[in-house]
Amino acid sequence: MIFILRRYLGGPFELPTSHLDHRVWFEFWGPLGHGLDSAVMSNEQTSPPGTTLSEQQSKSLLAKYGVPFLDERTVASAPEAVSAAEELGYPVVAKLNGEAIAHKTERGLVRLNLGSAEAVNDATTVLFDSATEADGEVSVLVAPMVRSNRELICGTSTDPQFGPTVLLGVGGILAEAIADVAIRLIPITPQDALEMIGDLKTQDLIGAFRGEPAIDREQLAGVLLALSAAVVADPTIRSIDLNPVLIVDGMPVAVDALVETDEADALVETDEADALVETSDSEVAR
Amino acid sequence: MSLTRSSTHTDAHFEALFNPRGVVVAGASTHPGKFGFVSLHNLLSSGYEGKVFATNRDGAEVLGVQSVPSIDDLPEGEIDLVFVCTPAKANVQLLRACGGKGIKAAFITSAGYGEAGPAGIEAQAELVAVAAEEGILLAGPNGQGVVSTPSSLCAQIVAPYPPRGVIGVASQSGNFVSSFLNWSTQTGVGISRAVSAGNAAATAVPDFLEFYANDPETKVGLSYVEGIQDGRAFFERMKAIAAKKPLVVVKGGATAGGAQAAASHTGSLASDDRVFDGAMRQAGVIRASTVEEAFEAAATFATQPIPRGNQVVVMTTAGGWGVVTADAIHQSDLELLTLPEDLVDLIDTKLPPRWSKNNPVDLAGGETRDTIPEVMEMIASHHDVDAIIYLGLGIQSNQAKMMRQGHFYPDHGLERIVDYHERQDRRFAEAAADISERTGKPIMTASEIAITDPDNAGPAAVRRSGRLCYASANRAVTALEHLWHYRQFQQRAS
Repeated sequence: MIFILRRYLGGPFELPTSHLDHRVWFEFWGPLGHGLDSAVMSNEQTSPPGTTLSEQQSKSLLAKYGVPFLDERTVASAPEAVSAAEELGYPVVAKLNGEAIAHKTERGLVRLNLGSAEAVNDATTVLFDSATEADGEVSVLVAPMVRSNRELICGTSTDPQFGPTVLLGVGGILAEAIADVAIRLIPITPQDALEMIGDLKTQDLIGAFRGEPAIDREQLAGVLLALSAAVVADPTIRSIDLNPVLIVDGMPVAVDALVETDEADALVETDEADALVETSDSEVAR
Repeated sequence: MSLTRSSTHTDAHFEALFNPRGVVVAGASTHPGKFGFVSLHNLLSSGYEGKVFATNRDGAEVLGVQSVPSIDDLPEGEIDLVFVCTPAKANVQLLRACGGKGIKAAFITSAGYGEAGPAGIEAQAELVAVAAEEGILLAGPNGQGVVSTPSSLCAQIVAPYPPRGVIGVASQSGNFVSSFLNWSTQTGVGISRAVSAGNAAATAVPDFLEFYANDPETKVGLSYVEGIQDGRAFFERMKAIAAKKPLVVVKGGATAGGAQAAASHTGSLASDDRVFDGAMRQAGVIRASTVEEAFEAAATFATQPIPRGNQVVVMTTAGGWGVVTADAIHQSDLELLTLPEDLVDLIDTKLPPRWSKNNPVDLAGGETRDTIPEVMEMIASHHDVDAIIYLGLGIQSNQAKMMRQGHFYPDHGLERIVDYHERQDRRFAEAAADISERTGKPIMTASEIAITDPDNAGPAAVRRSGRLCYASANRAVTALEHLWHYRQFQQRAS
């Protein structure tokens, strides 16, 4: 029971010290803990260890099913990062990306609020320099810096009794304490998804909030339906974490994604997935 | 102990269990403290009209029934159900003999099976295999018994025998059968069938519920479950049942501590409670958090129409009750209807100007002899109203009781006023039931007097109308919300 709660809501949340003006804006600073700490894993006694896809792979996979992500770019060098930032517009976020990379925040592999070409160049150079041999092949993700004062969690998990489930929860630093979540068995219908939103206790967060419009329920339901569809299409998906899903002008956008599968080669079983992996490899190789 | 074993039993088997032509109590005892005595006693005293037989090692006479030493000594083709109180070690041979006599169902109360370690588990597996070979539906072992009011059947090792009704009970714990039946007895909202699954060796809670889903005597299922072995199969089966009839479930083991207790109770593996909760929402199953909430939800399904919408009007004879009820409605998925102008105008014709003019409709003491039934009819007949909660029933009779018990009675006009008060409360209760039936909308009466003084003319008349008088407005709101959720599920499914 506890492990599922933690599995869903994420592990200990690491707060960066440099900012967070929570009186006004919650600023996205990169991936929060995704709940795969050792205490959590030790409870999954019946499952063999799975494979975690990189953030970029996770996002590519889920985007196919309609999960909304930011327009972000995968780059292989600092100059490419600058070009990407010019296209996206400042400020941007830069994150080191790779299959073997976890705990990005703890390792300082997420750089926020980069407001100029120089800042992007410097930060990206440092990120590439920070990569160790253990990280394997790496790239850098450049994404627009999004501001939001509402944060949700969407995800899937595999229940020992009921099999695959999809979850919607209130996110943010108090997520674990609030534990306001709605869960359904996969597959879900559009009606199920809408009822999940209605089942959250913190309904004030769903309506118009601090000058922002109400959350578009159809769009949020769409995220849940996309997760359900992804797991139906690929039963080797053991879990998905979209944490956080930020609400920007009432629309949900997932700014981090983590997909865990049963097998190392789970995604190579389909042509599409094959192409997906190749793309990311070639990008890294460039 | 699986909850989700797919039963191969046919309707004929369940008919044998719930509507047996004859019953034999195996292991009847002359000792009034033994289950073999109590079950025969309960069977005989509930008015069962089929033939009753008994076996007893010594062939003793028990409660006027001449027992025989063995099943082999009984007639063939007259008995459908064997109620087994013999020790576990005797039961394999017993079942074989029952098969030979054409007995189609066995309820086994004997302990010493799945709950009793490796040897017990082995014995249980053998029992299941033998029952299957003999074509016998096996209920239990280690269960409390079976009740079926259409057959006046009370084959149980415990009390009570509830009034007849349309609630079908199936429980993973026998004690909860008793709890539900006690509530039924107290409220008068009756039971069709009730069974405790015991160890559920061959027939589990969903098997019984599936029978209820097609049982014309049963209108709503009421169930207690603890642990689930195959959640996905359980979900699919509950969903199919709920598509046919309302199904109310209480689950034990909702918290970590409770889950641990459940694991040791039934040997079942606990899952995250919120997963169960979501699965039941998805399946259209009504989940209640307490036994009384579950019973009241089932009793409401059994006795009130399902509301078409969630717009509720509270009708009260006193302000404070209305306020608290409005609070409860606001905290639920129900809504307090903003009174339409035409309804306000209509009610104006029946009440002095000081009435509340909004919802809750506070009659503010302005009622005369016919006001309450008349205003209730106006509200219920309005298109925008989906349900009514009526507060204040029984207060006149409460005063009447004090007058009757005081030393001035029957002089000073007290006899006449006491009669009037009680007659009025009876009228109000009857009006609530009549108008509800005519309009097809729930009208729920709520008063603590239902519990504090059940003989009060108001709640007593509600009981006579076959309905539940809710002990508080909050409990009425909770029950009504469950009906509304089920309506939404029906709309979603269609």
